[in-house]
Order: sequence, then C-alpha cells, then structure tokens
Amino acid sequence: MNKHQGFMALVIKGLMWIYSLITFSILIYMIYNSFRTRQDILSNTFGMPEKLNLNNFKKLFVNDHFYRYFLNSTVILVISLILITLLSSMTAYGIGRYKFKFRKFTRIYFLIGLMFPVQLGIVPIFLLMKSLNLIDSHASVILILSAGISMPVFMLTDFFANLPNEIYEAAIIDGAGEWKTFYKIMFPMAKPIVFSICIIMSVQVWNQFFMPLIFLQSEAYKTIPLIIVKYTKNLLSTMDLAMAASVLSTVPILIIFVIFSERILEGVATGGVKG
Amino acid sequence: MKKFYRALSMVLLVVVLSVSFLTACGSEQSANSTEASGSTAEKSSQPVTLKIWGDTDNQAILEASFNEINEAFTKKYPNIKLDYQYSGSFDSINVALQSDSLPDLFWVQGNKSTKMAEMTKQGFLLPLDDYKLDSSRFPEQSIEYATVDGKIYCSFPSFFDYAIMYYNKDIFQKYGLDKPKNWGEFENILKTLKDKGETAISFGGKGDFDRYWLMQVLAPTLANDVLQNIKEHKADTDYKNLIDTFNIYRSFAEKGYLGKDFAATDGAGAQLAFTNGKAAMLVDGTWNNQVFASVNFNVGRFALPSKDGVLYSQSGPSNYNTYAVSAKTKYPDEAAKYIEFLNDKESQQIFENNLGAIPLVKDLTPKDESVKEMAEYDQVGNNIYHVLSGVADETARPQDMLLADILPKLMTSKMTGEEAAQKIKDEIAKSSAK
Amino acid sequence: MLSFFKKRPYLLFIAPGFILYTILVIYPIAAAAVISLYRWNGIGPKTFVGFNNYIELFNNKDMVSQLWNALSHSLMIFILTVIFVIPVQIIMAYMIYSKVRGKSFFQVAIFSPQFISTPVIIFIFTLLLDANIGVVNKFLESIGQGHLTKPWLGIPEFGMYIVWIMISWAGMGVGMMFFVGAMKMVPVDCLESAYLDGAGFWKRLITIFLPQIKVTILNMVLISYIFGMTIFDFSYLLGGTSGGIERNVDVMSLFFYRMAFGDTNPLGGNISQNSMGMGTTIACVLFLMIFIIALIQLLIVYRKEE
Repeated sequence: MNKHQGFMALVIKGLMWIYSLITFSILIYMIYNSFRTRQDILSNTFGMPEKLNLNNFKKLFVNDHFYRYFLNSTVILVISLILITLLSSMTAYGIGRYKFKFRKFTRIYFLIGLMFPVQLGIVPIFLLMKSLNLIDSHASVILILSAGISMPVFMLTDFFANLPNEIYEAAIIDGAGEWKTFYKIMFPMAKPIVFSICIIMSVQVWNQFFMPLIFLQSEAYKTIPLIIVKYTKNLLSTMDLAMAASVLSTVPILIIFVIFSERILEGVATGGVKG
Repeated sequence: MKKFYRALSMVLLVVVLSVSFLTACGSEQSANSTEASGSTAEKSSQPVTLKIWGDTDNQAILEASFNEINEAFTKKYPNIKLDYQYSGSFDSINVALQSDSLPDLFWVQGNKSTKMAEMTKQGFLLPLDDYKLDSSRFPEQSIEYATVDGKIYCSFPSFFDYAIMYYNKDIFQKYGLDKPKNWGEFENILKTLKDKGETAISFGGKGDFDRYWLMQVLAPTLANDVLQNIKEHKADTDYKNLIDTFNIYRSFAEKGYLGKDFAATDGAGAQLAFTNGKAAMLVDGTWNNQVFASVNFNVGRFALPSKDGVLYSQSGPSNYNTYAVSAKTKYPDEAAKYIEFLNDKESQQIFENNLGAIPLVKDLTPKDESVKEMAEYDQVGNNIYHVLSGVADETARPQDMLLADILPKLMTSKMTGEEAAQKIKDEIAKSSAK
Repeated sequence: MLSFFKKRPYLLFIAPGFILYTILVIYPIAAAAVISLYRWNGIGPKTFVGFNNYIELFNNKDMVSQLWNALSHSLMIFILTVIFVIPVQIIMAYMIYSKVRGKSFFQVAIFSPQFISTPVIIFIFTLLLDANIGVVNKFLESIGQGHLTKPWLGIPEFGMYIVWIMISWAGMGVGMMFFVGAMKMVPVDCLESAYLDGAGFWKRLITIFLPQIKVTILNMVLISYIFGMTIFDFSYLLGGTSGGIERNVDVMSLFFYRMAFGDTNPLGGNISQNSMGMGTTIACVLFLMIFIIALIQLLIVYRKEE
C-alpha cells in the first residue's frame, strides 16, 4: 500500500528526513558535548576538541551514584505508569461506554487537573502526605503522579465511546461480565491509543520535577530530574556534567519509547477493530 | 454477573493494596526515625540526629565543602549525627513553613531578603542570643545580616561576593593595556579596544540579571553618595551622579563597547564569548571565579576604580554558610553547636579551600592568588539592588523597576539617564518605607 | 445495594480514578483557590478581603496591561499551534502510519526533544545559534556568507516566535504520537471500502482519516489551548521572571509565577505582602479562562450525542 503515493508524498518524505536529521543532529551534538571536558566547552566552544573522554560519566557514577537516581526514577515510572494506565482506561471506559446523567460534567471534571498551577495546591497535599507519614518516600510521589489522569482520561474517552457497540453487546450476551468485557475485549481493542498514551505519560512522569523536589528530601530517594537540575542551576560551572546527566537520563526512556512505538504500529488494525 | 463483581473487586483490591503497601513502606521508615529521635530526647548521652536543609540550587557548588564540614563537625561532636540534605529550595522551604514541617536547621538569606525577618515575626526561627555566639571575628555587616530587631537568628556570613571585571590578559597585553587605576583609564581602555575592533565587554542583554551586573558595578563606583543618601532616606538627594551613571550605561551600548547584538545575547552566550577569547572583558560575579580560572588564557580581575582612583566592590554577604534554627527543633542546644561551628574558623577555612571565596573575616588563608586579586578593593560600595529594595514597599518597587523597565530601555536607547533617575525618584517618593 | 451498582456499572469503573483524583488533584485546587479571597504573603497571617484581589487586578492599569500582554502571547502560541503544528503533526503521523521507509527513525528523532530537560535544550541552542560562538554562524562564515550571521536566539522582534518555535520543536512528537494511535484505531472496513473505490494516498487521508479522527483533532485543539495558557519553561528561561525586554516573551503562567513567586532571586529581594493572594487570584482567572473554553468546546462537540 506504500506505492503510488505520488509526488507530494515524496516531497513530504524529503522534508521529514531533513527535519528528523536536524533534530537528530542536535541530539548527537548533546551527546558529543557530554564527552568533552568543561574547559574544552568553555574555551573552544565550536572547535574540535583535542580528546574526548568518559570522565563526566565516571564522575556521575562514582561521585553521585547515578544508578541510585536511576533506580528511583525507574521505580516511580513503572508503578505510576501501571496505575495511570489502569485508572485512566477504567475511568475513560466508564465515561465513554455508558450513558448516564452527569457524563459531560464528569468529563470536564477530570480535565480540571490541567487548568491550575500545581505549585499553589501543594500545601494541602503536603499536609495530607504528612499525616499518612509518606514524606520522603516514593509512595507520595507515585500516588500524586498516578492521580494526574486528566489528559489520558480526556483523550481515551472518545475511543472507548466509539468502539463498536455490537461487540460489547455480543460479549455481554455471551455471558462475559462487565469487567471481563472491558478487560478481555474492549481494552485490547484500544491498545494502539493506550500505547501512545503510555509513551506520553511516561515522558511526563520521567521528567517530573516539582513533586520529587518537594516530597523526596533525602539524597537516597531523589530522581533523575533533580540531579539534572543540580547541574543546570549553575550551568556555567557544571555544563559538562549537565550534558552527561541528560544523555544518561535519555537512554532508558528512549528504549521504552522504541518498544511502545513499535507496538502502536503493529497494533490491531489487522485484527479486531471492525465496525 | 457475579464474575464481573469478583473481577472488579479484584481490581479495587489491587489498587487499595498497592496504595496501602506503599503507605506502609513510607510510614515504616518514618516510624523508625521518630522512634529513634524519641528515645534520644530522653537520654541525652545517646546520639542526636539533626536534620539540616542545604541550598538546593547551589548543591553542585557547595557539596564538596559541606561534606568536609559535616565530617569535621561529627568528629568534634560524636554524639550529634547530621542528616544533611540539599532539600532547601525556595519552594520546599515555603511548603515547610506553611505546613509546620521545618527541619532543625536550614539555610537563609539573612537581610538580603525580607523573608528571614518575616519568618522571625511569625515565630518560625529560634533566637540565638542565649547561646552567646562569638561575634568578635566578624565585621559589622556580617552581624547586621544575621540580626532582626536586635536579636541574632542565623550564623554569621564569613564570605562575600560582588560583581567584578574579569579581563583577558592576552588581549590587554596585545594593545599594551593594563588594569585601570582610575575611571579615566578605564574609559581609555574601552575606547582603545573599540578602535582596534575588539569587543570590549561581553554583555548578555537578554536576561534580567545578565544585563544588571554592569549596573551593579557602575553604580557604587560613580554614584555611591547618591546610593548612600537613598539608603539613609534623605529627602533632598541630588541625583546628578546617578543620572550620569545611567547615561554612561546607555552610552556603553551606543558606543559599541558591548559588542555586536548584545541585546540578543543571553548570559551563557556572553560568558562563553569571553571564555572563547572573543571579548576583552566580562562583568560577572566573584562566585564564578573558579570557572574562569580554568580557561586556556590568562584571566585577570579588577574592581572598577572611581574618578579619584578608589576601587569599589559592592556589599553582598554570601549566604553559602548562613543557617537558621527552627523554633520547633527538639535539639536547640545541638543545633546551636552547628551554628557555632559554622561561625568557627575551622569550617570557614574548609569553605575557603574548596570555593575560593572572598573572606569577610581577616584570619583566613586565601585559596590562591586570584582570591587575593579579588580582595584588592579599597572600599565596599553600596549594592544598588539592595539599596533600592531597602526603600521599597508593597506598591513602590524601584528595584524591580530598575531590572525590568529601566535597564532594558537604557540599553536600547529608549530612555535617557534623566528620565530613568526621575522614574526611580518618583517610585521612591511613592513608597511608605522611605 | 448490589442492584444499585448493577444498574450503574460505570460507577465501579469510574470510582477508583475518581476517588484518587478528587483527593489528590481537586481538593488541593479547591483549597488553594480560596486563598484568592485573602491578602497573604505566603508566610504570615492571612487577612480576608473578599473579592478585593480581583477588583485590584482589573483596576490596576499596570496589572491589566501585563495581563493583556501575557494573554495575547499565550493566545498567539495557541493559534500558531493550531494553524501550523497540528496539520504538520497529522501529516507526519499519516506518513508513519503508512509505514514509510525510515519510520522508526522519524519517530525517535521527532519525539526525542521530549526527553531532554528545558535548560539543557536552551543551552544547546545557545551553543548552536549564539551570535558570537554559535556553530550556525561559524558555518555561515566558513562558507563565505558572513553577512547572514544573526543572533538567532534573541532577535527582539521575533521574541515570541522563537519561543513558539522551540515549544513546537520540543512538543512536535506528542501530538504526532496521539495521531498515529488515533489513525491506528480507524476501523479496517472503512479502509477496505476506500481501497475498493480506488482512492489515492492523499484522498484517503482527507476522506477517511480526517473525518474518523475529527474528535481527536478537536481534543488536541483544546489540549493545545490549555498548554498555551499554562506554558512556562521556555519563556522563563529565555526572558527571566520579568518576561524579557519590554515583556516581549511574557505568557500567562509566567505572569502568575511573577506575582506569586517572583520575589525569590539570587540577590534576595523583598517578599511582597500580597504575593500569594494576588498570585492565586491570577491563577483563578487563568483557570476560569480555560474552564469556560473547555466547557464550550465539550458542549458543541458532544451536542449531537444526547
């Protein structure tokens, strides 16, 4: 089906190659800079460096125990992502699939979370977490991030609403319960869009800065964005480490991205969805 | 239908379980810690743990020093354990204030901001007068920094920072130039460099503070008397020198001393232009000295001389080692020991060896020659930002006006020095704090 | 009790998310919104002032002009995004959906700016585009086009456009991934009939895909609106708290931030006596602007349903 796309498609493909190559080269440029010494970036910004080395990475691992931040970020990412996916697809299914009185209100209610700056609402959450004894533990950050389901619910609702009714009814008639229908039939059909939501949310969780800043106080619990900010706050004196930390934080999430994005495309179009 | 409910209750169970599991994890940790601290309160011979919040934003700079200082402290007081974390960001301290969860000690900005005064007013901080801190080593401005309404609330600052001129010795040598001894010489240097096609001063005009540092250097050098009068709330201040200062700031831009496209350059770009040898001078803080020490040409430093050859620095105690004690701390005596230690020469020398900051106290050994060079000033001038915020109130904020309104307009020749000074004057007249 | 839920199975699906979301998102927002009725500096005691903060915000000339300036910039970001970015995202998504050669590379490259933190992005752009030391200008000089060199990152007239370009570049992948997912959800039989009709590559996009993902597009428009109103990082890092020279890169969230937290800087400075009161008031006004638009969009888009 890729043939006969015409001249326009060729032009657009060309433009996409250019755009992607520019973006990619910026990424490469960042990686290249992470191998340079600070002195080299400072006094020889665009020149060819005398030598590239791994010192920045060594410093991050030996002095900063980078793997610890990495592990913390991973724990938070995995658990939050599972909870977000589960909670948001259930909620979106509930709103999208069934007709009830306050449906529109519910939709907009779930969107409110995107409309108000989090910095302002932080004190009540902090007091709540304090009373639960969750300050300085991953649980607080995981819970708060998992509650941020505004965008996924909003985006998923329409897809669940548009899934063919016949399949739902057939499943119910076959004796599958509501939950089983959702879990076994409807949810798999929405996989491509759920995977794109996963990608977008995983980046958001991975880059989350404010909540960990407030709730994770011990160095042992801190996440990758916090160590990156540590080096970007005084960029001039620590630009080398800032680059290296950025590179290190990019690699794992890139792998997740590749896995998920492949799965979107291999998705169900050949299988289930028939209206 | 039963299956449906079973499955659903399973899901809910999983959610509830995972939440409560996480909760349990968290509470276990903190339960342990409260238990530990509870028992120590009873038996004072048992080790005590002080929770301290350091400056998050400057973690990368301060880490080495505080590792060493804290180690030295625990060696000296084996019964006091330190839980020192870099959790003291502006945000987290705000949240801690509002939720009554301050750590035992945390860093403060002293009289550089009205925040510490506000905290003391609300009873968040422990007055330290009972602990008879030794202030004999410190100059007046250090003690002023730590004092609110006659009581001392934090450790004394032992270093200070100011904006200084860094210069590229190689470029200076090429044209037979040297450090200026008075304002006239400085102007000649600028002119010579300009005539030879060099960028005299690397200047980032894009950020609020990037464009401000030059003004911080110029103001006390050329108009210290005006600033002093404003500071002392004198009503009939003659603004002439300040007008001249503003006009000079503007003329630097007009005469091309600041290089091509300065208004579009950001702070980092300006700094990199200097470190790449593309500009002869750069106005930057002494706190960045270690960065410039590592470039591959000879960097010199000078405080800007006035017309009669007085070298001016600007007042600005460093908040790197100023910590306050929370009023609610369980271990005020131990916390005071930490404050005492920060006031002590031993910890300050550790600081100096790591940071190479300019000491306010006389008995420290400077880290290297460059620190001595930075300490070569004759007089501590007024810091224009601090002077203006000292006469500000709720409605009149001349310091913000200077940063966000006056400097960009002067820089782009949309305002004259006369207009700028008039604006400052009017704003101050509006203030009730005058 | 059981039959109550049996008749309303949606309650059980919605409940877990609803409870967590209400406690951890809605409750704090409601608690914070109340602050807009107080005069408060963030540390000391609060004084109840009713709607005075709102009255002050809309009567103070300086505040109103800042509000309009910031609002116009935020809206500009939104409009530019809808006109230029969303169509590009759809076309890119369509190419990836069609599995053109290099699709994996496209996906990774286009999405990758999302992974890098904003200060690092801006620093890299400085290294590349700075007037004195930037790679791009160096390159132009080396090919003898020195007269073209420019301070790319800071051309003052383009202030807001530069912010927009950087935001779009960084966020391009997000919308694109949504659209790829949405296209993948288009039922197969729709496509089959199109193939039977012999519709061409582009005709299929216009006649099949666009109508099928219409709702997703409209949702993305709303999301873009919300992000336009809440975007913060780039303006803050490029223009500082004051929002650039003559506030040329100021946006709504930065305006809010300046009022609520603007008093914290490396030199100290004064805390304003009503920073939190006025800051929250601006946040509430911002909230209402978003909420009303969202409400209107939802009412129009889903009018047919009921």
